[in-house]
Amino acid sequence: MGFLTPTTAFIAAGICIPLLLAMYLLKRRRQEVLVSSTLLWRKAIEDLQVNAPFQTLRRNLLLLLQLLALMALLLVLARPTLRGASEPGQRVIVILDHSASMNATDVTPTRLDRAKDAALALIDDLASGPLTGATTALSGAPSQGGGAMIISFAHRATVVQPFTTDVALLRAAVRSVPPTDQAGQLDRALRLIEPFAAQAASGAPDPGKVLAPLIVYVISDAQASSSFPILPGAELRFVRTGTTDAENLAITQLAARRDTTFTDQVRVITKLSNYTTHAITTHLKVKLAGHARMLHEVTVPPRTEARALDHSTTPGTHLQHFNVRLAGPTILEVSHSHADHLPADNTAYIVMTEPREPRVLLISPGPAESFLTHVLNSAGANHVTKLTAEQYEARAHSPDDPPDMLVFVGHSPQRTPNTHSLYFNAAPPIVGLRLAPPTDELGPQPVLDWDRHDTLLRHVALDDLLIINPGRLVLPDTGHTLCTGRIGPLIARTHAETTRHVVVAFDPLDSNWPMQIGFPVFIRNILHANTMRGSQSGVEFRPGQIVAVPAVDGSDHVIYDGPSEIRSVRRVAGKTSVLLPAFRRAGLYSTKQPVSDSWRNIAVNLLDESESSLAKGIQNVPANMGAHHATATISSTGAMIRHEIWRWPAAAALILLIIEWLVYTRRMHL
Amino acid sequence: MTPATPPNNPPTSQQLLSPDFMRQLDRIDLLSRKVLSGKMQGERRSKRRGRSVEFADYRAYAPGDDPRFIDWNLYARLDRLFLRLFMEEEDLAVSILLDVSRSMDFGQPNKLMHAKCLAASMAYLALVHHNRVHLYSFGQSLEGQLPNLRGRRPMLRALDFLDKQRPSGAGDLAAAFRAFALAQRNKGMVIVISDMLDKGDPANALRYLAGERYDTYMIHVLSPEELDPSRGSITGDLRLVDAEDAHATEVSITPALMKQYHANVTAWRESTRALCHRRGAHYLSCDSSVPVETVVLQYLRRLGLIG
Repeated sequence: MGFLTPTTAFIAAGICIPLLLAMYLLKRRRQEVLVSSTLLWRKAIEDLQVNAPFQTLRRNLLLLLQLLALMALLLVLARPTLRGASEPGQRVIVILDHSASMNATDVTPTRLDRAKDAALALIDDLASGPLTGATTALSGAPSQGGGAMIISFAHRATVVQPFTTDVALLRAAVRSVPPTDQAGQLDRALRLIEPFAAQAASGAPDPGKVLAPLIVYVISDAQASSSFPILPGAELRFVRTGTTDAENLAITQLAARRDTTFTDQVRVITKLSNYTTHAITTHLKVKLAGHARMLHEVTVPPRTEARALDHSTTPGTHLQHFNVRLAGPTILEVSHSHADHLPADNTAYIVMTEPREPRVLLISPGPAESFLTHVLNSAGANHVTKLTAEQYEARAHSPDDPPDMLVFVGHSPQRTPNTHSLYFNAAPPIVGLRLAPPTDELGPQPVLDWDRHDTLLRHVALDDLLIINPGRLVLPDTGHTLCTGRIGPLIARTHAETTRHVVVAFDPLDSNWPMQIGFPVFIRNILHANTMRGSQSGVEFRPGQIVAVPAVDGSDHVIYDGPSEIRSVRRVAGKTSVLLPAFRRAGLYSTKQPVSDSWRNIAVNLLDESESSLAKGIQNVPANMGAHHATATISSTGAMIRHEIWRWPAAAALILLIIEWLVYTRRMHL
Repeated sequence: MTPATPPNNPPTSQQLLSPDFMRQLDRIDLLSRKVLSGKMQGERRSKRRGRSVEFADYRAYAPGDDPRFIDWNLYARLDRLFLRLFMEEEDLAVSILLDVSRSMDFGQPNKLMHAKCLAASMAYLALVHHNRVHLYSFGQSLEGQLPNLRGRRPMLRALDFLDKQRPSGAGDLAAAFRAFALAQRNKGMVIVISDMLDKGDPANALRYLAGERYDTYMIHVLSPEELDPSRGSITGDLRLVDAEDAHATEVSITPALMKQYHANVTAWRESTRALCHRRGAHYLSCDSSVPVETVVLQYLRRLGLIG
């Protein structure tokens, strides 16, 4: 327990307690009464003091009660608080994790429900403390006077409720956070609050206004990946939900590829990961178009207890290969029958489309043309049309048969293409996007960091990538950095309306990338993502991924029915495709609308080892959280902040005064 | 609470002794368990040999004795001359000591008034039966005295004497009793009417009234407020001032203190009773709220003072 104004209480104690004692020590004026003789009275007093030693205490009972009442009142003056370190008037941000692992049922009903309970309890505590102190919030400046904000994060971070002192709004915001099967990206949520933290660190913009300190509560199951940025001006508190002994057997990989020669033969590879401490034997079921076709009994070894540098354990894995015969499009479903704490990763789907090779337009005025053609061929794009820059600019694109992807090497088009594009040492004319040539002769530049979880960089290792004189890439607000070097972004992704554009700030021949296996893998990932028709591979998406669906004339809406949600988006007239909002839940979604057969079904799979690993403990919290950061484990009813409890000592003082009055009157009236 | 103040009108003789009560007293008499000699012939048996008809003893005949008292039957048997002796009827000396210390002027009813009524009734009872009555008032010593009253006629003087007694100063039983013992050397009955609120040693005081000379009756008078202070306004934090010596005592009236006071009063009365008995005195404790008639006709009858 702490005190907000202990000095005031000490000063008051220094005055009141001696005054009270002096009132007892000083002789009081007593009423004089003439009696016949004091002989018997003196005798009675003497005998009373001799025979009843506790009478002295009884005599001082009033003094004791008054002292206790005085102490209780002094305690009120000291403004006692209980638990935590928040102070009234503080601003609080609650970041609620609703990623896939939060749907685990190792705690009832789910980790997300328990996290919501903790958030609601936090709001209740705030209601009796910080929020009530934020009087300025009512006048329209909650960010400077106090209040709370609710942010949820999974694949993206969303401000569910801006700063407010309205408890009802905060509670409704917490309850409205939906469960998802998306991978959690906590750093996106922390970047969202960076301005508030910076504001708290720098102080109030207006003189005379006191800016309340910022406390950030992250309620998660410690599955959020990526490193935590340090937030000067904010105090981060990590509140963990879930247990360390959750069991999960997950399908963490699923890939299907048609044979290039015998296109009706599809080779399926799936990986099961066991995150428990014991081996699991289960059945792996394969369905085609909803019909069971195969059943494999598999035994997946237990996880190893050896700790990695991030304190994670290595799951036991089992790779299963099998071939299926698929002449036309179908839906491939793989699932296992072992009951565990996270059902979302027990089943995975792949939509196998018509075998059709993607068509790529390569605009490369330089020597990279043949080299890239070879890479594109190896990635599965056998139909590569080569154009010069002039030919491209003069080309009248046929809307009836646009290519699946454009690749620009060293040439920035004059207009932003309506097709997904890949740029090497070039950039589309998108507002805010700029690629400047290198100003200095730079030596070989290494890669500092890259987004390992992005689909475009899946299985692409850039550790050894060295680049000579990369350009300086500036991204718009909608841009997303995939790879970062010393001078800035090296590989980035951006969108223009419905098309995706991936920009590489260097010519691949100005690096050692073509010599690495990651380069063709990168090309293949982009081809796979941009063509969306799978060519030889099955198509599946991740929760949180934005899917562009080719639009069909005559339809104003595109509606997909799924296992847990229905998404609807209005088709934009004149555009060739529509963007569906990111799917929240994994599963198979289908539409009855007149879309192409390839898009009649959309498979959304979790397939995330980080989210499937439920048993990661609190050690997973990054060590670079800083000295101001602390971790705590949720208790079901524990208060996590400090709030004033002056009402209790005030009530105690009132009760003591009543008792004192009763004792006094009882003594006066015999 | 303020003590009872003396009534504005001094008590009249009728207030001290009503005619009805006097008629009741005519039918009873004082009894003395000790046979005490008196100066004059009264209605009391005396140990001295006298000329009453009540045989007392024999004595050998000596020349000059009255031959009318020779027991001839005894001469016939013993062939010797013996005189028959008879009891002498003497009067009883009754000394009534009235405590007029300031502590007596207290209570509702007033203790002093009550004591005066008791003294008047005792005086009347003694006078109508031809006993000699000595009236004394005492405080620090003998304050007033009216000795040698005999017969009904001096009753008015006795009442007048009692009327005029006013509370004065502190009480000193030992000094008063000593002065009395020096003043009244003759044997007789001593009736002390007092509240015994003496700060000295009562045993020391009573020794002056002990012995064969006096048949002492101690009437211990206390007021209802002294017996149970809760009846009055004795409550809270007070400064009690002694009426006799103005000594102040600060008390905080609590139930425990009151309980202790009651116990002390009871114990004090018992100890006084025991002390009186050890000194050969009779003891009666009475409440000033009890009517005088009840005290005389019932309590004193049970005590053996009247019969």
